[in-house]
Amino acid sequence: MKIKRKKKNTSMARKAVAISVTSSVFLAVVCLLVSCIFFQREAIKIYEGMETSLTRSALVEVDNAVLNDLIIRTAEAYNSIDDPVALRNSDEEAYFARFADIQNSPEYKKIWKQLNNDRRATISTAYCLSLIYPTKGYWVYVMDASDTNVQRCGELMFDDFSAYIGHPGMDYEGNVTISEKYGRVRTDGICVLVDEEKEINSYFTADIPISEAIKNVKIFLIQSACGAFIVALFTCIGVFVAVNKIAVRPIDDMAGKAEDFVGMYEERFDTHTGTDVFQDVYDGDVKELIKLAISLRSMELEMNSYLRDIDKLVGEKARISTELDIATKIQEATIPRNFSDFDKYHQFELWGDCKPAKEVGGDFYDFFMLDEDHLCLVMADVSGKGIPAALYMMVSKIAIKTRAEQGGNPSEIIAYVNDRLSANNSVDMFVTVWLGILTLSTGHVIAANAGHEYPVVTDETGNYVLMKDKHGFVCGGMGGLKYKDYEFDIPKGGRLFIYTDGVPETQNTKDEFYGTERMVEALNHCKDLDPEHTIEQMHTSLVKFSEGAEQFDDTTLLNVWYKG
Amino acid sequence: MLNINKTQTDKDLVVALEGRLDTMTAPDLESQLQAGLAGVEHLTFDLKGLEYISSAGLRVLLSAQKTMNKQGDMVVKNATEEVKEIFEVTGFTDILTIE
Repeated sequence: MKIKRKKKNTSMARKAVAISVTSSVFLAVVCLLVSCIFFQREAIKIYEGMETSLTRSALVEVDNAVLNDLIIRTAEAYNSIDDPVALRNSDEEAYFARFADIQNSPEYKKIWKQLNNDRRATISTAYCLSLIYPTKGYWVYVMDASDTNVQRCGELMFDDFSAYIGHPGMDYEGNVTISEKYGRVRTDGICVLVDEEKEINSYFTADIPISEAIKNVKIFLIQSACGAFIVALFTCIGVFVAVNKIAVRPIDDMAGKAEDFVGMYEERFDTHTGTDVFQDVYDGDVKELIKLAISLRSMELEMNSYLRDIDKLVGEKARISTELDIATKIQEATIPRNFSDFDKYHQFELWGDCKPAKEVGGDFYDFFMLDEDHLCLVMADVSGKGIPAALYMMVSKIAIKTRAEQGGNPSEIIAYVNDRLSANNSVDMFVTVWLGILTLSTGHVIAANAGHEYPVVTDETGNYVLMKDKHGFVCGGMGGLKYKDYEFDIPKGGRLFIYTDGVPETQNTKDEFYGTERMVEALNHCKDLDPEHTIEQMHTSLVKFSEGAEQFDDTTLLNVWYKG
Repeated sequence: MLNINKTQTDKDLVVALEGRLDTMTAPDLESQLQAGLAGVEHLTFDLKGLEYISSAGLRVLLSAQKTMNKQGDMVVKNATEEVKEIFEVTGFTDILTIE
């Protein structure tokens, strides 16, 4: 058998692995992303808290009044400059000179030192005191307590502070900047002084380098990814092995056995023995596979039982065929062909033939002497075909002959046979019978017809003529019927031809019937021949007419030549 | 080939036959009648389209007649000349009601 393959075939284990790989990778990516976001958010919170607490604790140590005073003085110095940015760019010296007094004051230095010392004990790289000018986009340093690149009082630092517009004294928004020395630096802190009138918006912030932390996050991510990959790899291997063991191998086994089973077809039919391929095909505990194994096993058992049935049928068929052969022979033997036994009767000569359409048929003829002067002639046709018709024919034939030999007129004989046959006739079969008794000394015939075809008798001129005789009902169909005798004479040298309906109903390839007209015509073509050759000629005529078309009915003919 | 057309009104059944009623087709008619005759009191065979009837076909008509003898009546009508002749020859004219 050819199986149409539309898609590329993949093994079940491979499919399972592909699914588990895809799902593990998806799961790992989702986990990493979630943990990354979580990690980042938590880290920001920690830094925020750390910077807030650092700045708060730093401010506890210093004198707030002095600090505020320094802020206010710086703001005033700044405000005294018309265009601080332009001056800062054009004349740095002049610009910073405006803040020199503040920066050089002992209180400024004292607080700077205090804050810087304090800072050194922490991870912060700078403590900055500043004035934010949100609308201007920069802040002005009041103090930068750090060890490197210390910004002077009054220095400008440009950044986006637009979020502070209209929100004086709001919490410092943590931000990240890039420093040459420390890399990424996070700045956060607290509000120190707000004076809307004087436009003072001052913050104290701490810088914490976070490059290290970010690096750690990256390392964490890579490590987690590697870990996830390894876990996924082992999971996949596990899945592959498990699927292979639990499902693929048993299915493979079953498929292999199924192939064996198919391969044993010839053997099964040659040896006529059942197979035992699917016994113990699966011993696992997977429900679906158990079901499959049971199905395979029951299929095999069914097949074995079919095989036994076929075996039986083959034997039966052979037996029936043999029996049919024997039945045919028995039936043939019941139809008399001992024509030469009648040679001693010089008054007549006769010949008959019967050709069944199937192996056994329902037509028959019979002839026997009732006494030295009376010849009984019988032509009959049983309804239906085959073995049922043959059985019925045997019964009818014996009944007719037995009753005829006891004496009586044809009508009495047929009426008796009719009653006998219809007595226990549950299948409504019947037989048409023409029965005639010829008196050899005179050529007188007394006959009765139970639903049979019209006989053909030659007239004075020697021509065959269809004799439309009186008909009774067929024999065996219904009990208690009466039949009528009729009489006629066969002229000296005349002939009688009786037949069954198979003759006129012989068909040709155009579905035309042979018919009684053609039959009488054919008979008249051979009216001078003896019975044996007449029958032969009639057969030739039938064969010629039928043009090889298959015949469904038995054809039986009997010809009597009354010589006188 | 045989076409069997059954028309039933209450206890009247009309069976119209068309084609050939022979060894091949008779079993079909027989099984249809076996299933369809229960409770029928007037059975009519319309043989207008019947071209040929063999002894196997006659057997089915005989069975039907026997059944109907017990439970009602049976009529055969519109038989063609050929079929009528067969009824004649086989003596079925004696036991069938032919119209």
